[in-house]
Amino acid sequence: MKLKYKAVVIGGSAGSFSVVSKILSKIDPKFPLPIILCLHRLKHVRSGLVEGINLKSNLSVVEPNDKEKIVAGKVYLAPSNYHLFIEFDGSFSLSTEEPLNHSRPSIDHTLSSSSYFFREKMIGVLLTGANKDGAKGMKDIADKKGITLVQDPDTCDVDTMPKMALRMMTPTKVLSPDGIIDYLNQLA
Amino acid sequence: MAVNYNIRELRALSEHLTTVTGIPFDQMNQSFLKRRLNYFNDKKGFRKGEQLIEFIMKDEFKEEFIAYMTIPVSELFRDAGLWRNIRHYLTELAFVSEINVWIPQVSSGEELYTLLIIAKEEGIIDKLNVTVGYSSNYKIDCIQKGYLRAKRMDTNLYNYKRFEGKAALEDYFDTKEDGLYLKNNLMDGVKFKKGLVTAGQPDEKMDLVLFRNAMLYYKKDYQSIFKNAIDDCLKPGGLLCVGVKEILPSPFSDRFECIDQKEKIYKKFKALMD
Repeated sequence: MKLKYKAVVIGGSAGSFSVVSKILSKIDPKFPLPIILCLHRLKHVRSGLVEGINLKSNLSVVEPNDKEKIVAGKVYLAPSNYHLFIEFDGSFSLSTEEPLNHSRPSIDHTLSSSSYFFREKMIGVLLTGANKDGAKGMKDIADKKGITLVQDPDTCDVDTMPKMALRMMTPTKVLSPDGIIDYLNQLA
Repeated sequence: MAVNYNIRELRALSEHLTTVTGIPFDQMNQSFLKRRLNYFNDKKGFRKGEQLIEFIMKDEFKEEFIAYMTIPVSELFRDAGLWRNIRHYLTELAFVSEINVWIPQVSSGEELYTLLIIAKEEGIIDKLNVTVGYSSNYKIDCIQKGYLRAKRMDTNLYNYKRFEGKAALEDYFDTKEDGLYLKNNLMDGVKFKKGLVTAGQPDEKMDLVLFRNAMLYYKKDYQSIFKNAIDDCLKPGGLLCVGVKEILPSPFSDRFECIDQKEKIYKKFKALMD
């Protein structure tokens, strides 16, 4: 079966760990797309987050190495202190370039590079968070006609990030965490 | 309107840049190249691709461009666990011999300064022979003077604490108006050699090669050229440190043993000795 979409890319910051854990604990174990996570995290703490997310996830969660190929059905978490990009050949590339929006990894970088490669065949999701990172990336996805889902600010621990995105672009949908889960699972 | 390169233009430009600068821009990741070129064009206010080409025809501007395209390490003691392991390795080795270290591509100095501070703390700096490769004259002047941007000092101090250093990090630097400078005497055993990896290979065999996060910006196939050059220079039993998210795939995995998976420290097999 040929799938309409090639990837789901999720960005989040403050408060997003619990939302991501919830999404991955309820995602269909046969979910057919790769899920790429870019979450703001402490740059000096390299271990713990991927293990924490893995505990409840229905899908295997890994931190990709540089030049690693993207595989369907896997979850990839941007490593600490690196930006995560999608290269023109569809592999991951990492970078120690300067932080963007005070963040490395930066959600804008991951979302924007994803939009360039996947174009209309991707779903971008922006969750709760405390700065403007991710807003431009979501706009880039929308400009390429990809699907954009923004967490409903009323359901966010910190609503700055989704509100900044809503100021910059009109998403496909504004959804609660449960709504995001339902939306993704109907793709399975 | 900003310059917006399509794939064909990007490929042609990267070939031109390679010819003009001698740096293999045509072997860099295309997404990286496009991004950095866009940043540089924006920074300079260039609105047409030709403006960049004209800009780099002048030597002093060419150096500035190369410097911009070289990504700094950005922190002292980045990945403190790695540096603790290196400290252990260097102090053991210093009992029996001098130590040759190669940093094939230095872009901002932090990796070099960290190494020198460790050697000073362990009292082995006189046994250390460091060769540093560089591609940009624009940056190397600063590095030779030991310059360090002061604004990242909080991160550096935090890393140093995690490294479990023996002194106060500030003691290794002189404070001046424009930033911090590594104390002069620490640089005595350092040789600087222009040329990117293959062009700047040291004459002696090395005990340790620090090449962390420098290959990230190059295409996968081209990385093999770097790895072969490093393999050639490394003594059997010598160590190669790459970034914590870089790997040495086959055939290099047959020539090296990964002795620290977390910090990505590889040891060249002794069995392959000539």
